[in-house]
Parts: sequence; structure tokens; C-alpha cells
Amino acid sequence: MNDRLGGHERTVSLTCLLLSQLLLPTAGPRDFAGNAAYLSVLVTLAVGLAAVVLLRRISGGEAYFDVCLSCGPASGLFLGLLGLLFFLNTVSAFRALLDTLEAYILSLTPRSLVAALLLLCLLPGAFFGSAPIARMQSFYAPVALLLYLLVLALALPHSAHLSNLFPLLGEGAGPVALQGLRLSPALLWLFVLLIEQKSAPRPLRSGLLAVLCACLLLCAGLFVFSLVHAPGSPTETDYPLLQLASLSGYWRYFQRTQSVFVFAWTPLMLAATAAGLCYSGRCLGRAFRMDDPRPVLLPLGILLAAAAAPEIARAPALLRFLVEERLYRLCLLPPLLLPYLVLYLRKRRERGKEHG
Amino acid sequence: MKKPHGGVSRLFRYNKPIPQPHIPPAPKETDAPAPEKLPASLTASLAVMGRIFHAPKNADYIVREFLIGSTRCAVLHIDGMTSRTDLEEMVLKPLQRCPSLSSTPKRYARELLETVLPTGTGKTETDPKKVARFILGGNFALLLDGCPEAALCEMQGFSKRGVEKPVTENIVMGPQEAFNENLRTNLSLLRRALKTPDLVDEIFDLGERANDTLAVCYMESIANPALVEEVKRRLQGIQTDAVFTSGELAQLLEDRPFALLPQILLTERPDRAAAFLMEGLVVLLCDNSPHALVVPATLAAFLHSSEDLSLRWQYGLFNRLVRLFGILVALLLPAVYNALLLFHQELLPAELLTSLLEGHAMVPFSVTMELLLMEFTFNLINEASLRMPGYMGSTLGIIGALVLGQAAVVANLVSPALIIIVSVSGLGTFALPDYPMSIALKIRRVSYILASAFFGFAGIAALLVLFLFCDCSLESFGVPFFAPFAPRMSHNPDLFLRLPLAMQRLVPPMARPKAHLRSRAPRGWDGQRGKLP
Repeated sequence: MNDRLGGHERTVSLTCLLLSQLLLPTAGPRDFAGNAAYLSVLVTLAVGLAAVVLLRRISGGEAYFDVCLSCGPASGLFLGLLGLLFFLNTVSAFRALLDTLEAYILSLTPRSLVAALLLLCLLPGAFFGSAPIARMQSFYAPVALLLYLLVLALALPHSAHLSNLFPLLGEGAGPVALQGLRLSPALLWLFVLLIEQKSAPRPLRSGLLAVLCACLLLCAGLFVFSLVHAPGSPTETDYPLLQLASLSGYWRYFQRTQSVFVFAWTPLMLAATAAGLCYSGRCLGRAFRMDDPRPVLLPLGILLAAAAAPEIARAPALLRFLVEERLYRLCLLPPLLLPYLVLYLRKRRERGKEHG
Repeated sequence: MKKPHGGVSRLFRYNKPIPQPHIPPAPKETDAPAPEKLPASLTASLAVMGRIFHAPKNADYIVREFLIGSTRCAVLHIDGMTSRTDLEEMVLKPLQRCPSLSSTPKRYARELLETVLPTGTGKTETDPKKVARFILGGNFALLLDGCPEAALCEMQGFSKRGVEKPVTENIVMGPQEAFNENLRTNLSLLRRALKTPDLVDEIFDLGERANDTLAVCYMESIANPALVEEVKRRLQGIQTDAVFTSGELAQLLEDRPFALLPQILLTERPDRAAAFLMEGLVVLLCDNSPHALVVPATLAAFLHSSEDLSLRWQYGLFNRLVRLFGILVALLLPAVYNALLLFHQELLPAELLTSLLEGHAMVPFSVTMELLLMEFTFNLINEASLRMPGYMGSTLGIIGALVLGQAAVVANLVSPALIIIVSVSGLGTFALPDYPMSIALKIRRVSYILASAFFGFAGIAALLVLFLFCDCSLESFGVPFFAPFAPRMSHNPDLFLRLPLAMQRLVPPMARPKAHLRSRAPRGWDGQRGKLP
């Protein structure tokens, strides 16, 4: 596995990971915050920036693996929990991709078949390690960005009205702020910085830049969405940006570009899923004291497909809770509490050694 | 009762089985290995050399014995490989006129090299295998009775191809010379392009049975010593009976033989090889092969043409953009067309969709099958025209493109739009300057067509991801294949875009060269006041 990363790849990769989760939220921000949804992203941005600084201070420049391993007998538990969080996030991302593909492209193809195909394509990425995934994201990001901006630009000429932005705070300041928090579980990807702290240079800078870029891009998308939809108008809020893409049209030959949008976004979602699989495998591998986590990846991948393939209505209640409810109820608490707990235990252990 | 001869039985009367020659398994090699040093006695030396060359079975192994004074001597060479006239005039005649040898027998060979033999590249050798290898290079060896050394002199006289125009890397502007099969000629071409003592060429022998000579070339002041050492380590680790071409050598040297993309660049242009040397890369020249290997190779190198730098930057940039667009079209256009017609009709305006579907209505195959058939036909025409002699190849291309295409449309076997799609994607393939890479591109194009047939844009995207993962994990001699783009490194504005030469001040950093700066001010005169009349 190749896990050596440069600062630029780390930043681009993290931006892509964050955006992959933020751009296809299964419950649209507009549903909650109205036409001020784009402002709620600014709250997410603030949370994200704070989280990066906090994570950096907590770890004190050490990689999370090293911190955990110095905690004694409970180290495996912490690593396993982090692996689980990554895995759940990955299931969530993969499920969002499958939902999107089912809704917009492959409505007649069985979900399980699509899941199996996508798993085959993303597993090699997880096997090769985080560096090839980050390189792939760096290579593809400009294309995706161009297509994303194209979709936004094509949506504007038809029905953009400044009056659609009023009232400026939409449903009110409270819902806007709450919506911002509801988006923040996607920031779990910031943990990648902790895992690769030793191999990637300047993690703080990478984290801050990535959060800034991801939130601004999402903000731009929701802003355009608000511009072209009158407040209170009925919208298909599950996929606001896809709906935006379906409305866009220019001249005779650029119409209903949602397929193009999905085409642009699928590689990034797949890369995010591969990265999630890779990181959860690495965490679990460390928990079991394995030098090479690759043997864990195939079973994890099959579990991932099994968890993401069934429609949510048919999924087991526990899975529904973990994958769907978790995102909106628990927010950032588990990801942020975990390092604190690890650090506390480590300090206590060090103190005990000094006294004993 | 006697059987009558005739009818069917007569037909089978002579149908006896033909006796097959019995070829027993070859006996294992039992010959004693050649001694490590030549014996002093000429008779014994000739016996050793004769055993190496399988004399007298080997008809073109020539031994010419004569006397210098009272000392017995023999010149050994391969008939047809050495210049016979030069050998007679410049070696045998002067030697036979030589009255006697004055030094001790052990120094005979050195004495002759210093006094009589006219050749400038003479040396002595005691190892019979090295003597044999030297003779096989088209040279001759002189053995003397009483002397345990052979005098070796270069006198190649075999016929070889001259320096001609490049075949696969044609350009309009720039040098028009290509490497040929002779290592010495190729090295001289490289030396002519780079007139500097910094250019080092180290000679290696490859192959355990049939030796091939190879030159490892690099710029001493630029190339990373670790890279050079790695190249040498891999070369020394090759254990095979023979290496005939640089293509074979590339396959033995590359990092991942199962990857679809080539990881070593082959070029037939000395100017391009010289440019790579100036970037700190290592160039391998193989005897008997008109292609130089360049290591390490990155994606950008496969997309560039040597003409890009000869042209003004605006024209080079335009050409490069056209080429990149062509490659993208070649890779994805048929698959996108397939996906559009099968899965995403909503993306097309109604008139265009109607026109495409009308064209396809009378065709008995599905769009995917049509595409695959046309792809196969296109590649067949391409392959056939490559194997044909020049004039017939171009005729075949015209017949294939015009007659077959037109006939297929009239016979309703393919739709007219599809002919356009396949032709444009085929043209895009030829825009790629590297031949092995263009074959990889064709294979990927077919994969994309199949993926789009099953899953539309989602299939194309998924396969794109798979291929990108594989490509991004590739490394060529430790250098990531997508460098300096991913991982990001500081580089000249000459990656996907080509900007003015004056802005290209860096030595590309991928191979971690010793020198980092090519020039501080390429247009150093700019800004100084000149004295124009």
C-alpha cells in the first residue's frame, strides 16, 4: 500500500472527500433552512475550521495511531471505533451514490447489481492505498470542478431572479444554524488528517484549505439553487443540485444535464468510498496489530455493498439508525469525543507511570 | 479368394503411414566450460576458440594463420562481419612484412598493437569469452604463439542501414534523423545532438547465450545517481538467454508488467532522446534496435511530440490542445454515443435524436454491436495497411475507408452517424504520438463501449475510476506515472499546456535531478539596449 502524500494531494483529496458527502445530502438543506440554505453552509464552514484546529491541538502533531497505541489495553477499542465511524460514513456515501444512480440513470437496474459493479471498481483503489486515491482525485478534480461550474452557469440564464433570495434568512436564523450543524457529520473525513499526520506535510493548512474550498463550492451551488427557485416553491429537495442540473439548459444542445452532473460526480463519490474503505481497513488493521491491512479490505467491501445495496425502507432497523439517523442526531459528537477520550486516557496512563 | 484391385480399396492401397523421423530428446550440454584465460600456445588457444565457435561446423568462423618471422600467428574473424579488404590491406600485409618480433613472447600482442596494427581502438584481452564476444561484434582478434593475450582491433565491415527519417515519429519542423540498428551510429547521433563531455555512455552486455550490447546514457551533471544505479541494478538482474530488441528489454525492465499502460518510453528520434537526457533521465540504446528507451517515463512524456518545442509557443499550444482533445475523443466518443442512445436520450435535442434513430432504424444490430463491429473493421484495416508495402497500404486504407464504409451504409449494416463516430475516434488515436500508448488507448476504448452498453454514463464513470486508480498507482523507476501533476511538483509550463520557452527555466523534477535550474534567463539579451542601425 502506498500512503505517501504531498500537501497538495492531501488538500485536494480532503476537499473531494468533504464535497462528495456534502453535495448529495439525502435530505436537502433547503427543506429545513428555506432559501437561506446557502448561509447554513457558512455555519458548517465555521464548525469545520474549528474542528481542524481542535484536532490538531488534541493530537499535538502525532499520528492518531501512535496516540492510540500508547493508551494501553483500550487502544484496539479506540482504533476499532474510529474504523467503524469511517465505515459508517462510507456506507452513507455509497448509499447516496446508489440512490442518485437509481433515481437518475439506472432506475431499472437492480441496486445490488450496481453496487457489485461499483464495488469491483473501487476495491482496487482501496487496495493500492490512499496515495493513488489522492492522486486520482487530484487528477480528476479540475474536470469535476469545471463540469460543476458549467452546470451552475447553465442554470442561471433561464430563471435566476435576485428577488428569490429574500427573505435573506429564509426560515430564520435558528433553522439556518441547525441546518449547518446537520451537515457537519461529513466533517468526519477530517480525521484523515490525524491518521496521516506523519506522512502528509502541513496538515493544519491542508485541513483549513479543504474545509474552506468544500464549503464555498457547496455554498455556491445552493446559492444558485436559491436564485432560480422562488422561496416556498415546491422542489425536489432530496437532490437540490441534481434538480438544478435537470433545470439547466442552454441553446438547443445543452439540456437536462443531470446525467452530466452524475457522470461528473460519480468518480468523486467512488473515490470517497474507496478512501473510506481504505481508512476503515487501516484502522481495523491497526486494531488487530496487522502490518498490512489489505486482507481486511475485501470482507469490508462485501459488508459495505451489503449494507448499502438494500433500499433504506427494507434495511434493518439498526443499519437505518447507524447510517441515516446518526448523521442528523449525533452530529460531530462521536468523532470529536473520541480523540479527547484517547488523549485523557493516555495522559492518565503517563501520570500513573510517573507515580508508579 | 483373391481380392480384386480396384474401386475404393485401390484408393487406400498406397495410403500407408508416412514414416516420421524420430527426434530423440537433445542430450544435455556436457562440454567442459571454456578456460578463463587463453593458453600461451597458439595451438591450444585456437582449440579453445574453436570450441567456443563450434569450429569447423561453423562455416563463417575464419582462422587465417601466418608467420611473423618465425612466430606463428592467427587472425580470427567472422566472415561478412569484418571488412575483408581492410583486413587484407591494413592488417595482414603489414604483419606479413614485419621481419620479426623483438620483445618477449608475453608482450608480443602489445608490441604489435603499438607498432604495426593501424587501428586506433586496439586492446589486449586474456578471457576467451570476451575475445569471442569482440569477434562477434564484427572485429578481429590476433593470437600469437607464446603470448597468452589476444590483440583485439575494431574493423567492422558488415552492411547496415543508413541514418534515415523517423517512421513513427514524423514531424514537419525539426531534425529529420532517426536511430538505426547500429549502436555506434546511434551513440554518435546522440553525441552530435549533445556536444558535451557530461554525456556518459556505459556499455553493458545482455543475454546469457546470445549477447546483445547496450549503452546506458545519462548526463553526469544532471541525472540522479540513484536512478542510474537502479537502472544498472535492473540490467544486471536480467537473466535471459537473449534480448533482441529494445521493446523486449523494456518489458524486462518495467515496474508492473501487467499494467496496461507502458511505463518506459520508446523513441526513435535522437533529438528527443537528447532532450530527455537534459531532463536528467536515462536513455538506453540497444544494439540491433532503432528505438531508444527512456526511463523513467511519465504520462506527459507520452503526450508530447518533439515538434512542440520547435514551433512557436502559440502553434505548439494549439497543436497540443488539438492532440489532447483528439485523445479524449478517441477514448470516450464511441462510449458516450452508445450511452446517449441507450440510456440518456433526454440529453439530446429531439431533432438530433430522431435523425440518429432514423439512421439506425434499418440496421439489424444493436448500437453496441454496430460499434464493436466497426471498431474491429477499423482496426483490421489499420493492421492490414501496416503490414502491406507502402503504396499498397495507402490503397488499402482508401478502399477500407471509402468503399467498405459506403457499402456498409448502403447495405444498412451500419448507420451513417456511427461511421462518423468511429472515424473521428480513429483519427483521435493517431493524434497520440506514442504507438504503444495508442494501442492501450484502443483497448480502453473498447472497454468503455462495453461499460456504456450495460450501465450508460455510470458504467463509463465507474470504469474511468477503475482505470484511474490503476494508473495512479503506477510508478516508473520510482517516479509516479502522473507526476508532476499528481503528486504535484513544481514544473515548467509544459505539461498539458505549452507556454513560451522563456518561461521554462526548470529541469523537470520527476527524476529528482542533481541540477534544478535549466537557465535563469533564457532570453538574457531581453531588457538590454541593443545597437540597431
